[in-house]
Amino acid sequence: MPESESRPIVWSDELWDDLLRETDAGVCYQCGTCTATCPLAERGALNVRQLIRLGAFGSGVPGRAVDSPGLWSCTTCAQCNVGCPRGVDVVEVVRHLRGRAWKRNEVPAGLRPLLWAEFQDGNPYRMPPSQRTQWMRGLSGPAAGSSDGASTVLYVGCTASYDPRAQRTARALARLLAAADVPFRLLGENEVCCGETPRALGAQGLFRDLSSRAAESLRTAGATRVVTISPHCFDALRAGLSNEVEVVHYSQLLDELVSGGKLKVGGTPAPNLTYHDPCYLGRQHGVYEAPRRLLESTGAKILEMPRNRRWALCCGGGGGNMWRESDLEGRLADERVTEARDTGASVLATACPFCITCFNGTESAGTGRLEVVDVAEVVARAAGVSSA
Amino acid sequence: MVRMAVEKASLLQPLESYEQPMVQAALVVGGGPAGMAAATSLARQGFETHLVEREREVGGHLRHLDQIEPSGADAKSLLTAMLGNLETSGAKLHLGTEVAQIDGHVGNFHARLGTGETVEAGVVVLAMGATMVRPPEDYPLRSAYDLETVTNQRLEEMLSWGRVPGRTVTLVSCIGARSDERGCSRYCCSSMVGQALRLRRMGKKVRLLYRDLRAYARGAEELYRTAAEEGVAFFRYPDVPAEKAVRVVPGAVRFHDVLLDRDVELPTDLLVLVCGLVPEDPAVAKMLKVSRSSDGFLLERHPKLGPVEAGSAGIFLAGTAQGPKDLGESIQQGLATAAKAAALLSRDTIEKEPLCAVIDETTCNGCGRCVRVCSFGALEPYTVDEGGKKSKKVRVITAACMGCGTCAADCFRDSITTPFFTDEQIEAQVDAALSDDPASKVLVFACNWCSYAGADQAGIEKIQYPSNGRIIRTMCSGRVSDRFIKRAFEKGAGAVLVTGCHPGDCHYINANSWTGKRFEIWRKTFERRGIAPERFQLEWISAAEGKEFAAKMKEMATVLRDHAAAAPPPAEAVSAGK
Ligand code: SF4
Ligand code: SF4
Repeated sequence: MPESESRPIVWSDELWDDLLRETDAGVCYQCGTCTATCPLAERGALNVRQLIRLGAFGSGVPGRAVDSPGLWSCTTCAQCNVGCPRGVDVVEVVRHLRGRAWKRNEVPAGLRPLLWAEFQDGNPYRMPPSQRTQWMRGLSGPAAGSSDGASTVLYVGCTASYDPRAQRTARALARLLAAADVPFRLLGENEVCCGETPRALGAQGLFRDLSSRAAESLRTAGATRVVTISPHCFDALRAGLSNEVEVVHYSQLLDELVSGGKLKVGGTPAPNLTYHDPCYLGRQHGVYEAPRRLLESTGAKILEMPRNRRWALCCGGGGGNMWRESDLEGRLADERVTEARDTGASVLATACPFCITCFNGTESAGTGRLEVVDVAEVVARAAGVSSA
Repeated sequence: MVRMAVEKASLLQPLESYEQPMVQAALVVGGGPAGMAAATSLARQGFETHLVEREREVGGHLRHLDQIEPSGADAKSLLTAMLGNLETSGAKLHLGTEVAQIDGHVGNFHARLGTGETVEAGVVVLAMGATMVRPPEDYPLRSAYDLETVTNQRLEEMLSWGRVPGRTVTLVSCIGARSDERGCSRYCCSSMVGQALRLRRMGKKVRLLYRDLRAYARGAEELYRTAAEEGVAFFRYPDVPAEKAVRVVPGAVRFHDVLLDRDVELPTDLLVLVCGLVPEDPAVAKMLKVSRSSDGFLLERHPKLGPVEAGSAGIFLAGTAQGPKDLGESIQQGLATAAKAAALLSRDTIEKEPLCAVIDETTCNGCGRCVRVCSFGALEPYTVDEGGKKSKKVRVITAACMGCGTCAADCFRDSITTPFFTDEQIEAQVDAALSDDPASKVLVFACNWCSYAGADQAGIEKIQYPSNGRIIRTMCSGRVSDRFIKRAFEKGAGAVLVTGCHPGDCHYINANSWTGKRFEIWRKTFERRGIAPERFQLEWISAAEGKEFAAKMKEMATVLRDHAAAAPPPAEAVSAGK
């Protein structure tokens, strides 16, 4: 038995009180439902129940916490929160423990440069702010956010700003808003990262810093409503902005426009498709039906995957895992794409740029048999606007 | 089976119940919450009530409590209220004294108190309570270990003063409980969770080590949640007695955390041992011949059918004397005994069940074997003068006889009849049971209280077992006489199974110990007569052991199969030994 195993770990009242201050871990009675439902636990990467408990143990060396194996593998998918009989926000506990690790400088290689990029460039991709508007190629007029005095801001987000695949989604959405006569503005070079990645990685200080920068540029733009493309921005802005600004996900807005008759859809019906619930839209914020109604409004029939809505399997990209080499045996995205294909659908629609990246990165996707698209792109096609 | 019932019914005689005078007064032994509740209720209903309490004050453990959990109610106000009710109820209090001597039977108990006073009562309520177990001597708790150790009782005192030493407090549950014979002490989980919360609210770092958390009272689960929310840390130690699982090292407590599967250490200034309950000195219960269960607490007549009554009529059990329970349950039980007792006291005579043994004076030769086996002292030798020739006889004290029939099974001269369970009636049942293909039958003798109820339980639980059993019910296994067994084997029974309550659980004090002793002898006798030991067995089965009953019946069926494979010994072989 290794030395560390035979020596008892020592309870730390300080760490415990720390945990209690920021989370509701106190009521956890260690039933293990979270572990039983966690997709990473299933792959042996993480025992989240133990993680919660170990959060209050020191190694015997004053101030040193016990290692929390698997802490960085968590995708913050919140599957664990769904089943917890005590209503613990387990993701909150994960963020807290990660935050503690930052303070002690115990983080995996690769995450530090990521946060520096966030800090210095205002985005995780190390891209210059001046290139934030590149995605707008080919847009003009209202679709380019030229409506002066509009109080709605389309918050593009870092991924849709810089990632070529996600840029398409942004353009489709901008055109849809213009087609529905929704005046909106863009923050352009003044847009900064919402801070979701630092937040999920436990870098609370940086998250707060980015939120206040985001809040500042929204205030300057006179925004009262923000529409996000990524559910991650949706989540982080909701958490970081005071309630003077309303934050909505684009799927909610489009749903409103379509059902209010402001946006006409119904060209050629989309082929059979299936819908994947992004964790940060579904489980984290309970938005399950708006994207489904949108898809159905195009005449499409949704072939549901066995795990849908609250039980949708995570794509694997959340919680900083977009920037981390996965240490998992089989990737979550592979399993999800297989599940999608098994429904018989030829299109896998979702509403999150991270999910799209993960699915497109799987070996089985893109073989021509399963097209991975964003809901906005499906709607754009049906509304007769360009989705390129 | 129908035939068995018909045969017995054809031999039934109308029985006459009889009456005896009732002293319309109650004696309550023990002045804790249960005794106070019982005495107050009885006195308020207008019965002369005597409450005897060893201490100079009533109140029992309640006197030492600060708060009652899980409600958090103030213990002192409850005590004041209960005391007020008791004092105005008209009950006569005998404080600072004990029952020195007590005997008698329902309707007519005589007690002598330590003060010399005597009390006559028709019913007795036993509410002597229980004591907190003393932490084991070998628990390494000395000050050398750099931490202070107290019991939860002592902590309660400290909490009432509002002064508790130390910054970090660790409570350990189940000290002296849930080991060997002893079960869960029931009061402690809610109580310690409440204590832990109070400590936390004083600003302490509080940890609670439990084996299982059984916070079952109304509001207890909510209390547990509040304690967790406010930061009491809960840990589970392995499922062995706390003394083995939790070690004290300098300034800390160490154990194996079951949920982490790791050894953990909790730095500790104050260690609180949460102690279980153990039975009080049973002197009074012994004098009244009240049985005790294997954990030493007084045994009720039946867990469901007579939960607050002792085996002997007119004696009632309340509070922790009968088994660990929390305050609310103790008071409930006190009130229940009062209701039961009042039902008896409200009449000036009592009717006795007519099951009382009857001795035929003409055939009795006064040998006294029966006197020896009666658990209730209901048989009394006397001498008659028959025309100058003195001869010894035995007679039945009907008020004391409980009708178990253990005496009848021991009488060589068949002079004792137990109504409703006469030799003729039982033999008629044996014959009927074995009238058809006897070799395939298992004849089962079952006592009314445990094993018959156990067989019933098997049915209630819908457990399948072979249908070749034929059950004959008697009040007690002590009624089973060797003549029934001999008869059964003569008739070709495949097997005979005698069943009864577990030793110590007998509802006639210890009458079933005679069954056990007799069986040892009978088995040898029948073996000599060619009955293989597997074909004649004894099994103790409680009212709850439906599974065990079914399993035994399955086993007996296998015995029959094996026995049928070999040639059965001819019936004459048995009779030959007559
Ligand atoms: S499901 Fe909830 S209560 Fe159960 S172990 Fe996980 S966090 Fe704790
Ligand atoms: S958020 Fe997802 S990955 Fe993280 S512990 Fe919960 S279920 Fe597992």
